Amino acid sequence: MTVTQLIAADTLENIDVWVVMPMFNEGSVVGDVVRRVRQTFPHVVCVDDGSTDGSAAAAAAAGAAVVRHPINLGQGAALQTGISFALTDPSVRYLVTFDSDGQHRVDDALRMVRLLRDSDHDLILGSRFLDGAAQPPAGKRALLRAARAFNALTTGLKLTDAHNGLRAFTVKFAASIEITMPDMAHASEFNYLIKSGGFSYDEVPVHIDYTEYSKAKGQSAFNAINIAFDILLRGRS
Amino acid sequence: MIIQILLIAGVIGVSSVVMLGRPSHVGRAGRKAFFALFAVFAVVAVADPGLTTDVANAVGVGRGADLLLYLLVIVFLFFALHVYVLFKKQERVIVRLARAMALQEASSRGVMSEATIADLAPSAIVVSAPVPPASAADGR
Repeated sequence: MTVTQLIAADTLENIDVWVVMPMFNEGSVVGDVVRRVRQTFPHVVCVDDGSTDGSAAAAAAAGAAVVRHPINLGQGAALQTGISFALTDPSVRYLVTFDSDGQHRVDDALRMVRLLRDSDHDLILGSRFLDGAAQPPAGKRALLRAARAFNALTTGLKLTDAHNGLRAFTVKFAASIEITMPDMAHASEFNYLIKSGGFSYDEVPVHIDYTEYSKAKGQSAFNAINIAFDILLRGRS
Repeated sequence: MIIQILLIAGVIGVSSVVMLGRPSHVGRAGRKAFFALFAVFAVVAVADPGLTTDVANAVGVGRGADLLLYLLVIVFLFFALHVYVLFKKQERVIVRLARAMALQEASSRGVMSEATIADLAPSAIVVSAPVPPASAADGR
């Protein structure tokens, strides 16, 4: 990491932003993703969730702060760890969650943060379906539609895209939540936390780049059943 | 019959282990009461098998043994759910513990101060900062 990278002039606007990237065996792409993000957001924390492929070194070399889980805990747990870490920076005001596989676009994130600055919203959520911004593969689209219905039913939050990993939110929101669903069910839990805390939010269209890499990494549709089960039992634990 | 002696001994043995355990707080009192009731019911049912059949007939089941099987299925489902919830609680504890470790380890490496050092006086650093070699910056 070089000092000149850290203080590139156009990143000064976002010196109060932390980008949180959960990371699990993304070694081949995460370095490029971090470099791309850091051209706009100087503060990136990669939470290495027990990778075995050198992801941590790649992210650190690209200038990210790296926090390493001693064991694999799941993406939800990694998000919360990244949020907790970012909150230890006294000057942080906004947080962004960003996938480490490169499917999100930095200019979308920048637009969302600017929207946060200019509005009273606590969160700005990315949506693939507003304005037809992205065209996921057909099978994926059906699954996401089902997820959206389930989400509205269980969380009471009506979103056009309930499971988008690109989100921007204020410190006020970040400090008031704890994501306890360690695995993929955290997306629903996140929405539940928004609803139950009465936070104000808005959705904006974002682009998702479905590369071969991100499709291969994406979760199996069968996992949706596991997630549904965990969400329904949430109240009991 | 021999089986009745064996079953009654088993029921009393298991129940007394639970009930005569260390005296403890109120949370366990309910469990002890449950086991006491269970033991009484089990001993009576074993001593007089006709009794369970009478109960079974009253609720529309042919044999007492069948009624017990149905009850067992329900109790087992309840037990499985209970264990699942306990397991999830345990998992949450582990996650918190591991997170605390991860944050502590990152803090001991000075990750946050390294990431934010340029925020303090960016202009000063622009002028004077040498670019450290990549190996020095990553070396840990």
